[in-house]
Parts: sequence; structure tokens; C-alpha cells
Amino acid sequence: MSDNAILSAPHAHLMGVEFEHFDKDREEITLRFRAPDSFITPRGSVQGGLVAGFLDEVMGWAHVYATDQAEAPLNLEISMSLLKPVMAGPVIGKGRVVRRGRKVIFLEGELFDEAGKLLARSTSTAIPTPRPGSGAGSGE
Amino acid sequence: MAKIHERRRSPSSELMASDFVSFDADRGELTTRYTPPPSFASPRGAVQGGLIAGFLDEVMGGALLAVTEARFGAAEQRLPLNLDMNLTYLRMVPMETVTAKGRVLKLGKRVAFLEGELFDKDGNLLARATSSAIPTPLPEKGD
Repeated sequence: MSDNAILSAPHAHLMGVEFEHFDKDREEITLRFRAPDSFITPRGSVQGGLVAGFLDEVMGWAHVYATDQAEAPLNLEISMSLLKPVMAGPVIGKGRVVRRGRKVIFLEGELFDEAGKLLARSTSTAIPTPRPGSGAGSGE
Repeated sequence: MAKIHERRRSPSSELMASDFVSFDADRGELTTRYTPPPSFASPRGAVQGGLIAGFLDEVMGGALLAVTEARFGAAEQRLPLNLDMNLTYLRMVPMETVTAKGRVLKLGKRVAFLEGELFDKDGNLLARATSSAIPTPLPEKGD
């Protein structure tokens, strides 16, 4: 299983993604990010919507790793709460599979600063699809 | 000088190549176009789901700026500090220019309720968002 896959997409470079850890029993992945300066608003922190970019990434990779890289989620819905501003620089994300069904999966994600403070959290409802580029399906 | 909701007001709006289209003061509805940068692409070749919220947040925020200016004047303009955001994904968002509409559903002193929609060039609804936010004064620096 290649951890380089995490970095293969353009958006992953943008967010400076690095693989940290995957806990198979909990189906929980830990990733590190670097929030880029281009995500900043007049307030000086990451634009709220773009925070979902990091959360989608940790939730998605939790599902990919839980299925041994065979599947990736296609989001139907994401809900997120923004607890504290996310600043440019290092961010730590944790993503978990809450329930993995054949037709629908439920994911959740959290973002922390380096001191371990919770910055944002999310849940997602998604459809499992063959992972794009895995050869198993054409993607969309 | 262009009003703040008509300009690219931040690095994030620059990144998404925000282009003001129109503001309907009666409906409290702002229309803006965005062009996803190549760095927003997922392995599917479309915009990564989470980053789609970037466009929607931008247009909802612009709607609050425009509505508060229209109602109370430039000195009382408000920017949303998002508490939460809910996103529904109806179709893949292509790597091409999309049109976004943002509206203020309710504007209170302590909380504003916002909604946003994203359309492709044929007018198909791609995604929608709702947000609750705290209306805050603009940061001092202005830009």
C-alpha cells in the first residue's frame, strides 16, 4: 500500500497533505496538512468553506484505507462546525469511518492545531465508488 | 471604486478567480462567477468536494456584505464568521467556470442565516449550502 497515493491529486499538493498513521481497528486515519496562504480571508484565517477541503480529505482517506485502497467516497452531504479559526500553517486531521455499508457510508472528521485544540469537525454521508485511478472503475 | 463584494477581497477570492456578476437588492441575492484553479482538481478530474464549499462560502459571505451595505450603509457592513455549514452535493463540479448565488435568509444581530447555490454553464444545480454565522464588522485593514 503506497502512502504516496495520498499526494497524487493536485488538491493534495495545494493542502500540503502528509500521511501520518492509520489505525485499522478504529478505521481512523491521521494526516498532516499545511494550510496555504492562498486560503486566507480578510480576517487573517482560512476561509470557512475551504476548511471543508481538509475535512473532506481526512474523511475520504479514512474510507480509502479502510477498504485497502479499493474504494473512494462520492459525497452526498457534508456538515461541519467551525469551532476556532484555522490559521495558515500546520494542521492535523483525523478521519474515521463511522459506518460502512454497501450503498451508503458515514464518515466523520476533525481538525486540530499543533497544540491539540479542536478547530473544526464534520460528518459526511457518501456513496462508496471504485477508487478513481485504481483500475476498478472509470470514475466520473 | 468597486464595492467590497464586487472585488476580489482576499487571497481566497483571488485563488477562486471571483468575478462579480450582479446584486439584486430586493431579493438580497448576490451572483458571482468562480473559476476553479487547477490545484482544486481531485483524482476524479472534478473539484474536490470539500473545496466546493470554498465557492459557496465566498458567495454567501459576499451576499451578507452586499445586503448589510444596502440596508445600513458601508459603515455597518458585516462579514460572516461561520459557525457551521451544511453542504449537499447534487452533481460533480467541473473544472470550469461556475455561477454561484448567495442569499441572506435572515439577518439578526447575533446570528445570520445564509444560503448558497452553485450552477454549471447550462444552469444545472451542482451543489447547495446553508450556513449560520455571526455577523462581524470588517477587519480594520479594509482589504
